[in-house]
Amino acid sequence: METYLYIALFAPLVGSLFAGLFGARPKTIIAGLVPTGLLFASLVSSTILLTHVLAGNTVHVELMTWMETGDLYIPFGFVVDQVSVTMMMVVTIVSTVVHVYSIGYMDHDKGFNRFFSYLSAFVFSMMVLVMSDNFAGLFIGWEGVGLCSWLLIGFWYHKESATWAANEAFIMNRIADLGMLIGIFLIYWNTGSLQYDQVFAAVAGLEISTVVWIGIFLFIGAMGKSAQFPLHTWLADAMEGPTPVSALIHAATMVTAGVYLVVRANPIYDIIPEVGTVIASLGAFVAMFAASMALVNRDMKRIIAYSTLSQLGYMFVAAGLGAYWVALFHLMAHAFFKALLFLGAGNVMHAMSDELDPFKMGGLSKKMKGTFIMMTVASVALAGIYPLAGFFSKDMILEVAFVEHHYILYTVLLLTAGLTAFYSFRLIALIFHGEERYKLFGFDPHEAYKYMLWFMAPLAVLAVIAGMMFKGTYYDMVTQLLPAGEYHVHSAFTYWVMTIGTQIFVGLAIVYAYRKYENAKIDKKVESGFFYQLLFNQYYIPQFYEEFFVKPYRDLSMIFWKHIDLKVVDATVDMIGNTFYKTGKETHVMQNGNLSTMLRWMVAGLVFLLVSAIVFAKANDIFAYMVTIVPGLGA
Amino acid sequence: MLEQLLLILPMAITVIGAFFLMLLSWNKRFTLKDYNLVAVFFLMLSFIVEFPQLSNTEIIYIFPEVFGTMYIIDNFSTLFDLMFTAGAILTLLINTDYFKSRNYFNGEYFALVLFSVFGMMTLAHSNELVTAFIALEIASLSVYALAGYHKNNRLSTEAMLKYMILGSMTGAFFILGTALIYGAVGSTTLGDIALFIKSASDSESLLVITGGTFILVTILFKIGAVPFHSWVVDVYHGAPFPVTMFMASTFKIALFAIALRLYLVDFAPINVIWSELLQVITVLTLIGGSWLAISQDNLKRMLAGSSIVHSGYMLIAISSIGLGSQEAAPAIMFYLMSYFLSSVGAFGILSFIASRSNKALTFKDFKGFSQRRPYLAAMMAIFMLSLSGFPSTIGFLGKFYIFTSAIESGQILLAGLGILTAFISVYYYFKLIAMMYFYPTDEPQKKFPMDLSGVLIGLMAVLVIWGGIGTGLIPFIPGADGFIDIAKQAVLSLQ
Repeated sequence: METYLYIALFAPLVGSLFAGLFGARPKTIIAGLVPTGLLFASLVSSTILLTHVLAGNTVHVELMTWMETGDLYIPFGFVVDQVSVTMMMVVTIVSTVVHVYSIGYMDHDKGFNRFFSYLSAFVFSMMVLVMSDNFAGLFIGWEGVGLCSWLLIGFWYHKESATWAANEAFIMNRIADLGMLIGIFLIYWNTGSLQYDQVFAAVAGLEISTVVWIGIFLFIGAMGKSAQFPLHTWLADAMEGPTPVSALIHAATMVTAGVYLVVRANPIYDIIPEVGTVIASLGAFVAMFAASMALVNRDMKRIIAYSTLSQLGYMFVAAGLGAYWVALFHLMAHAFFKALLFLGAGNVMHAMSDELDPFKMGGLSKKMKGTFIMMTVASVALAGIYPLAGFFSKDMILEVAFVEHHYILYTVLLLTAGLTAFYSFRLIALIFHGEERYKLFGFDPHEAYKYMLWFMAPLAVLAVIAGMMFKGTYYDMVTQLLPAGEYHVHSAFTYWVMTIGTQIFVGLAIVYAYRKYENAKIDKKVESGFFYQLLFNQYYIPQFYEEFFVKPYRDLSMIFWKHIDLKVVDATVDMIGNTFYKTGKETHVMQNGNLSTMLRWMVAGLVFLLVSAIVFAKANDIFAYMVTIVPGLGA
Repeated sequence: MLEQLLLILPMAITVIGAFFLMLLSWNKRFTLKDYNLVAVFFLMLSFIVEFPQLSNTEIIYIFPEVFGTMYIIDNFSTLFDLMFTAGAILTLLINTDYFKSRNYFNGEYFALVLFSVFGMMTLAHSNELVTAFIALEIASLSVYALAGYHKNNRLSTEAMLKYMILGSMTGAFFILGTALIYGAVGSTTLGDIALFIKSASDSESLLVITGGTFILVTILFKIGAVPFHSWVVDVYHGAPFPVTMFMASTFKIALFAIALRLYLVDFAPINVIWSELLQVITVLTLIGGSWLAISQDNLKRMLAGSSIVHSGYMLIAISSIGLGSQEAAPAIMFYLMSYFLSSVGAFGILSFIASRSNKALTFKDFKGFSQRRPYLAAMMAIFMLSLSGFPSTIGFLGKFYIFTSAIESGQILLAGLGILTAFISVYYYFKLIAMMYFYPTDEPQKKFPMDLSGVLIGLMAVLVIWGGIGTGLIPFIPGADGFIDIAKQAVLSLQ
């Protein structure tokens, strides 16, 4: 089994290096095919490991010692257990699909080889993140995915907006990573280890306030990676990257790393339910907050990004309330339908020559039947309609909130479910139905390559069946490691009222969205309203950050540069350098190449050394002699 | 008997090769390439025979019934031998093109290289002062002749003359020192001297100290410590490139072989006396060398000046030995290895380029070099980084160990000065990197063939990086930690 573990882990790395070899060369199809093939090998290995885990086993290997000084011992250890195998499956399935899809999507791009090198490097980092058996390895993966995300958001680096978005994402994540690092240091100081099993065993014996701090700091790290408020702005801007990247990194895998961290650290969060409640409340807030922004946005990818944000909020609600397996289950289901949605959006973008405004589309269902069906399936799943994946995973979170007596959270989430359905089908209606507005703008849409659609199909199938088929098996498997909890409403009557009520509510939202947006009528009165403007400008948060953080920081930096760096630091360095250089030039005369001078110097040196050596050697004698004669002088 | 012969076989092979080349050079039918191959063959054979001895931890005296304890074989000398032969092999192979491009080389050149390698090996093995003197002179005389090999070039002749006059004088110092020590001890074997010093009173050992100081001056002269440095820049500049490379990388190492053996073992009880003197010399060497290096335009002269600074670093560790640092001796060995790799590489690139033109190479000639020859420029940058002690290269670890030893023995100020001169060295080393990368090129890109020299230089560059960050996880290949372990093992065999 260890062999499969190594294949699953290192195959993407090999693929990345292979594609990297061709980095500076013109497009070669091999640079895309080989990483994809290796990733498929990784997927197969992960599947084999999954069957192994389903049989009740886990795999734990220690590749080698990484650091060993004093008490600190950190190995490169990897573990395949119920939690990590879930993540491995999600990562490998989605990334294999995305790799194949990208071969088509990046077909005409100059950076084709480079793209696959980065993409596979991302998968490797993500595998390290989820498979590590200690916090240090997790952090390496964490930073690795951050780096790859930066590389990929800024993939079209000649576009100013892309580099800006890449930097924004990276810097936001750095802020959060600092929190995460502090959390890891706290863990090490207090438990003396970074291995998960040892830490979780030791954490119960710590003071509750320490654990609270650990929990908070780790969650700050999670907030950055999972783009929770107030560090959420980067995710929408990250849509500057190529769409397969958005599907893989900014929907299915990397952004869920924060959820994974909280789930993985569940023994810590179990001790501190107060922090859990805060996490859940923040999650519910973000769910609603992000969904509200998605209602009015006019950028197809940003709408889906906000939807991702909102769904991450749902996951944090579940994780915060202690329903870790529900969070993980929703993570998995969400990965499938959200990646599908993004890839569909990528097809639409290609068809529309990178146009993102859905108001300029309309009626595309005739030209792009495959994409239309898949995006609809994904949206239905996202909205949580029975019997698709979203119904089982998302409605479960509502139930959790209800059963745990957090009725406010429940209400918020319920409303958000309606909003989700609304904005999802607003998008579908605008893109695929109604008049063919694109003709006005002179677009000539065409369906994507056949094989791209075929490889999207597995995601569509999973989006349909993941909830219905896997829920029972998954529950049995994952609760071997995570706290079990069935979360059933006690009375059957309440259960049916809730379920059917939710379904009807969501259904009404869908119908409303269709009716309102089928003909893409723009209601001027609503658009000029305060709420519309507030939502459209993302609650003015980006402007707020610009005004109150970015500008003061820039001003401060200018002051430091002009007054401290130039006048103090540079001047000092220049002075030292100039002094030395001038003396060097002047003493040059000593070195005049004259043989007699050389001989003189040598003899002088010899005499100096001889005299000093003798004086030093005789110093004791002379000293003793002085001691005898000095009193005589004095007397 | 046979076993003993096997042990001296590496030395024997070298000297036999030298005579063989002398005889061969009568015949006009052979080309330089043939001579080169023969020389490399003998050196390679010597290297291969000697390499397995590295794991031999015993101390053996060769033919004790004839030579007594004059000639010693231990891990320490074996490691040095390997460096000498490797240095000579690399010098010969990398300079293949240079030999072809200059008409003044002939068969005797290669014989002289082998003779000098033989001298150095004997120096590393000598356990007696007169043997050491003879070995030193065999090596030195060969190098004098090599330095003046370009007979019709004024600079080369001048270099030889200066080097020979000054060198002969210091040779006289060495033998005078030996005589003084013999006068006091009645023997010139190192073991006897050590015994004498241990038991002698202060006044009795005065003669030994005086003699030791004379020997010290010889060593300081050969490694180019200030104020005995004045020949370095002129001689390095005047000598043909392959010779400069050989002197800077290989011959310099040889002096440390005898210096370490003397001061680590035999003068150990009294070397604290020299520590303060050495500190003064070290300060002078570090600062003087930096001054020399910083104001040079010619690259050969710059590297010559900087080689003085590198001697200064090793002197720091030598005075640390006197003050009782355990880490100092391995630090010197490691530094020698790191300096050897980096300087052979740097000089190798210079001579590789020089073989295609007759110009003196200055900083300006390297403007935009990275566009003309990206791979060579990258390698040159690696060597410069390593020479300046940039982290992730072997040069960084070398300086790190030296400074650690200085701090361990309480010479904080000296370590501070060393770090300061390391910063200064960044100026003249990075100047070259800046020239290569930040300026446009005047000339169009030329196609140079990538041949054996290029491959060897590339190998050195890889070793420089590997020695800085290499991991010990790959079996049979020592990582960055492995090198210092080899050095420690070698020093251990001395005690």
